[in-house]
Amino acid sequence: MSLRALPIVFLNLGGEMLYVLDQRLYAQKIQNEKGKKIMQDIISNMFSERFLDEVFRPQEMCHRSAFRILFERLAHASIMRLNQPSMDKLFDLMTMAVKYQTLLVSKPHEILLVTLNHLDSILEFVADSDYCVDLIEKCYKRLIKTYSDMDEFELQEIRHSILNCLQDLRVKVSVFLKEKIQNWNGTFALANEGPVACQDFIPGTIIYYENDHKKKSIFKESKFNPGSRYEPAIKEGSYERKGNRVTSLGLNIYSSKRPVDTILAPESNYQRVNVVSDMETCIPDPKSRAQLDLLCRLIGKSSSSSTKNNDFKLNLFNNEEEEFIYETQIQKVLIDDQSSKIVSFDGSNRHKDDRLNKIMNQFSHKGDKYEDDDDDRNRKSKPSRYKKMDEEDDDDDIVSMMDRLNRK
Amino acid sequence: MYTNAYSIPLKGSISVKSDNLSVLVRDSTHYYAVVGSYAVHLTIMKGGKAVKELSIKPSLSEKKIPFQLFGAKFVTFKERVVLVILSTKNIFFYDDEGSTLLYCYLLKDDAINPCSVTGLSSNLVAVGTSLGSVLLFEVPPKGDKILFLTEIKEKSIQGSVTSITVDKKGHVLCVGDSTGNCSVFDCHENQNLKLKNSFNESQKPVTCLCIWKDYLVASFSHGVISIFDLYQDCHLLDIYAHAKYINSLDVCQDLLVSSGEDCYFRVWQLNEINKMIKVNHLYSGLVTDTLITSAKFNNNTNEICISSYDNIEIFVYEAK
Repeated sequence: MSLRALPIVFLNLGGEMLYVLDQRLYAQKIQNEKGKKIMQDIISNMFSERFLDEVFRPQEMCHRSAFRILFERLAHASIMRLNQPSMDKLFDLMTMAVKYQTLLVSKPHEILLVTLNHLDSILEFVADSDYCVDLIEKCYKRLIKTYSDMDEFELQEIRHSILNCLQDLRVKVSVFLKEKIQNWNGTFALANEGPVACQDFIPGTIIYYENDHKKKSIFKESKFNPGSRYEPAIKEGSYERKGNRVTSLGLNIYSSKRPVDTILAPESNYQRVNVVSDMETCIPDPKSRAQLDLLCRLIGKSSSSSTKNNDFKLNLFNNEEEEFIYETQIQKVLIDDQSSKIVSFDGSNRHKDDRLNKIMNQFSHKGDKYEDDDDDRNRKSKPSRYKKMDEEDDDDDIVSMMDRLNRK
Repeated sequence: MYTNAYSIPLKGSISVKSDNLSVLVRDSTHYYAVVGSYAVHLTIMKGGKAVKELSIKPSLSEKKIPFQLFGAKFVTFKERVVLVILSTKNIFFYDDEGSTLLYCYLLKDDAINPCSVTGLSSNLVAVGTSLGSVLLFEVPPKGDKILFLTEIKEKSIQGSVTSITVDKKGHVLCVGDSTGNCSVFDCHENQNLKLKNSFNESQKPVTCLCIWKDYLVASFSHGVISIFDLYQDCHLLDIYAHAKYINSLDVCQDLLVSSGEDCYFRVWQLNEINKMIKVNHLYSGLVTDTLITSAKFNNNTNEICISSYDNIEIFVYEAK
């Protein structure tokens, strides 16, 4: 297990979230300026230095449900609002895309190229905002500094950590099915022929060596049929700021040319088996909860989002019928899966943690009172599969403290 | 020629981890242990039927906070078998059926993780770690008084231990690491491991090791299998075996099976004539759209068990 997997999976999931939101803003014909503002608000939060400091700190990988809460928080760091089915669908699309990319990389180093592809694309969304561009540029530097010298084994450990975090997910995504990169049982089509990875050999040769006083020379070669047609490697992707990544994994697949492809497959979205994932039945580590808590609190809101009048709803579904079908299917899965005790992280829970309190104190402001217990009671009174953030009761929240500071 | 014959059911799905399947055959009972995210899934088969399926979730506190798992292996001694489970911060020793926790060793350093495990002669268990050390434990013939003996640090192990294996007699220990180094130790004198030699030909991470006769078979991240002479200290051959990362190796009689991320498992015939080694490719099996994590012989060369990421069963391929 790698302690360095979190930044990679966070940036890749974040990139996928922005791709889908961009496409839906376009599909819902949201005014260009408004759409840009939404993207800038989310990106400025996602790439804020304080937030990335915490994300890049070596730590154990978050539980999948923690990412769900974190990205819900990020998505709502603007005037845009997503209802629960839309958020569920958004998260499904994000996780399946990242699972696909992580599975398909031809060698561990490529996982960094996939992340760079996401950053390259995100930068284009906010090319007009110097502030956002500057934040993303800093993220590039941090990413390269952390990962470019890592050996292959460490990167493979990161890859494994991401795949294990996304284990048991088999949501079928229509754009993947259409492209035939996903099978109808929810698995992905893995390459078993074509170019090999850079510096790798084409399978099919056995080389025998002759050893004479420690001097080694090729004695003979023999060939075998490897079963598939392999080709030499194309070329290695570049980590340079504007280099050629070579791989297309991590690029935006929801282009405006395919505006309706962010839908889940119409039948049985979830391929669930009778076996309960051991990821879902285990109790989350309290450390992970504190970590999630901290990350959630570091997500602020733009000043424009402070008035509820500006809020508008973004829908991940093309129409109500589609949303109804999706919700019905989710309900069916939950009923079928009654034996499964889904344990969800509650990002709203307050935990007393020294490190957390220290950071909280950095935000403290005279006259603003942080009421831990009351807030906790408020949250607990709202039963929900994933406890929704409540916009009404955030007076006690660090976010509102930040809002008030901004207004002053 | 191997064909998919049947499947072994598991209580949960398999995580991605190289070499994550362990097979134990005793009398006519087969035990299969495979690693999930927070549980080791153990299935016991008798007469072709699953008689017991369970998930072992190692934890220490009453709150049952789970540990992420890195490996599970049956370690066989003359008198007993123990199931060793490697997790973050801990090494768990269970009985062979996974029902009783015999001993738990807490790793002192937070930055250290156990990576690979094998059994030596004299009831010793060796665990390779992410900091490049080898931990030795003594397992008594009976009871639960398992002892941590020592931590061995050797300069020739330069990175994380990625694989660790021992010869049939339990006298030669080989340790592979993330820098591509294979260190060979003489372990005749119990815990006094003596470095005999080391090999580093590719500078690519070693992904798996096994020993056949007097030869070390090592697989690497770039799809190559190399064979070294353990006693003559020389590199004998390279097989450009897989198009991607090799995840497992297993040897049984004179056959070697390898599996890789290219969706293939391949079977190789190993021959030794007048101290010359020859390898023939026998079979390549494609398991479509499957990230194979391990391929192991099912006690004999007639059957090969395949574990794979995100699956809830082990596929068994039978020789025809």
